Amino acid sequence: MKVNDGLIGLVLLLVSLATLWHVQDFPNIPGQTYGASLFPTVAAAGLAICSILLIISGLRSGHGLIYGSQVTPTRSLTALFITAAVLVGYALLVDYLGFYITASLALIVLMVTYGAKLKLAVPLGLTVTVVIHLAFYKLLGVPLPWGLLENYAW
Amino acid sequence: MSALTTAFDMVLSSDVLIAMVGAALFGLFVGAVPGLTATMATALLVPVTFFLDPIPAVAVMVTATAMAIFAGDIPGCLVRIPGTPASAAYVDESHAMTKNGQAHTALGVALVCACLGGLFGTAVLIVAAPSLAEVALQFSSVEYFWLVLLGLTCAVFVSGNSPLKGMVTLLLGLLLSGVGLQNPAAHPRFTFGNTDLLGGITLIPAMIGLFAISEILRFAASREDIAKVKAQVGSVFKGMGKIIWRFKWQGLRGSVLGTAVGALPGAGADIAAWMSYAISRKTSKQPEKFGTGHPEGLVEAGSSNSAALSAAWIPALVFGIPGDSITAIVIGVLYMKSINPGPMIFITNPESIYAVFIIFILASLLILPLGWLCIKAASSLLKTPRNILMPIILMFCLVGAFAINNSPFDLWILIGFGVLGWFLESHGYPVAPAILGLLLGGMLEEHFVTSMIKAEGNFWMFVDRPIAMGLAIVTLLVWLGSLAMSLRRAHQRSQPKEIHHDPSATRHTA
Repeated sequence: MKVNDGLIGLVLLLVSLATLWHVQDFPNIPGQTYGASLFPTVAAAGLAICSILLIISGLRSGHGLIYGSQVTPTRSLTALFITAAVLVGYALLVDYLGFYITASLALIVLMVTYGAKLKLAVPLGLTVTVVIHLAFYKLLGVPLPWGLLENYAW
Repeated sequence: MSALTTAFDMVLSSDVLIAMVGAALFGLFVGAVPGLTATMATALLVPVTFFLDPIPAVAVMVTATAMAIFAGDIPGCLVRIPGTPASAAYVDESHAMTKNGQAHTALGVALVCACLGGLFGTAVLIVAAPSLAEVALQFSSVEYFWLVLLGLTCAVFVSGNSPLKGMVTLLLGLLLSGVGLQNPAAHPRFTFGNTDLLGGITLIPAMIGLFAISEILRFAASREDIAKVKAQVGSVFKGMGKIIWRFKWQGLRGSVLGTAVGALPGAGADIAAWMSYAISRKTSKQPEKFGTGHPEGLVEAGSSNSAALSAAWIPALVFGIPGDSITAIVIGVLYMKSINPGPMIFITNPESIYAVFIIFILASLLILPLGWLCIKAASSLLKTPRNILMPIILMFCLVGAFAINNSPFDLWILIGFGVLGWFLESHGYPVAPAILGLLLGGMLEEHFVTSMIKAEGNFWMFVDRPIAMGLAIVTLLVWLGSLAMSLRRAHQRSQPKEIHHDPSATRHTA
């Protein structure tokens, strides 16, 4: 599944115009006629020009706005969405649930999604979580959160 | 001479050597498993290097990438899936040799050429870097401005088949580099009241996202299975001397081109291999044999990608401008260790530079014995279940990105850049210019504004000094030349015949 370059160009054009509008109130360096806005202005103006070229090439390509969807089987799409959901879920929940619960859940869910058997994924997921925790928390001193398991911290 | 002795002492200590062997095994594994790239190996090593001293940290990254680039040839040869993009140029050739029952020859050529190419690139690094550093000492902000601009320009035009798409990702990278307080007026740009963004986008999580998370997402979206290895691999060193000697000029030419491509910002081992293989085929006396299992192209391209790997360190060490995506990560790590790459290290810290050289030589030599072991273990390595491996790598990325600053916000940077990298790559947008823009944007702006203040707004000051003028002209020539080429290509494309296969349309993260 692909997004037409024209649509990407349109989004980028809006982003660059918003940036151009946003940077105009940035202050100058004292005593100079330019400052914090100069560099983003040049970059955003360049991006605006490139996005217009992308829109033109997207229109010329003759593809639909989103094309080639029949090529991607739903199995892969599901796997992709679950992967993204696991990433976001980890970032949202790790402080509350703690590393042990979040990481082992994330590992098991992903392994099963990618086709591993549950009876393999569960012990492996738990072991890997313990090993990573030992390596980073104990050995390297990274303060991975305990979350709900705070009382059992060791 | 005392600096050199100190350097030997630094490298030949047991902890550095142990770290190198460990990193070598890790690099071989990452390279040999399809879907894991050498850049990803570097990204995954970052949290580890964070807790090492600078010299072992550099040793670990150099060794792992050198091994990974070689090991990428193994699955290419045995099952026709390149282990890293740097091997993609010649998988058909080496797999054809396997089908002819010459897997041992193909792997032997890959092994020996990786060693020789790496040594060649290192030799150039040793000769060129210190003398370039001497020149660079006289650079003012104007020269640096042009140099960074030239580097970014090369990144756009070398790193893909569509300069427009390269330009888009470069500009995105430059815009993102503007986030935070680090700007001439110290104004909090694009932070939207978020205090985590005041310091700018943290580079390391962004790079782990771009190079590792994006690969996992791609794996999730495709999940191709790896075929079973059927080939029997005999003695890999048998008859090697004869083959290498027969194609010595091709090997040398590959090494030279690889070094040049590697030293150019934005282009690394993979592009070097594509170019060298194409040149080898074009100039060969037996072009008809290419693709049927002929070692000539393997010698040239196999030397080329390894030479590119070492040469990428030339601009990285001398100017702080990365030669490829691997050195982009390395520079990020060096900054974290408050080592600012640039000509001054060659004066203040020559022993570290010598130590880096020694590490490169050792790493190239280590390829021979450890690579041989890796070939022996290849069929079991290729059985590594990736459905187990990928979730573990993902967890390492999450923990590693958090470990850099112990900041939960970095997780969002990791995820955001991971999704961005996957999206860009799956739509044919090269990622290398984005990472260069992100890394070098601050430097470009600083040198530009400093020069503007010095010049009091007079733009002619930018070309007042001879080197600055030279760099400006080269930058302009690259622009004009590339524009002319793309116009010509557009003209050719408007002709009815539209079938052309451009290998550089594939991904560009070695």
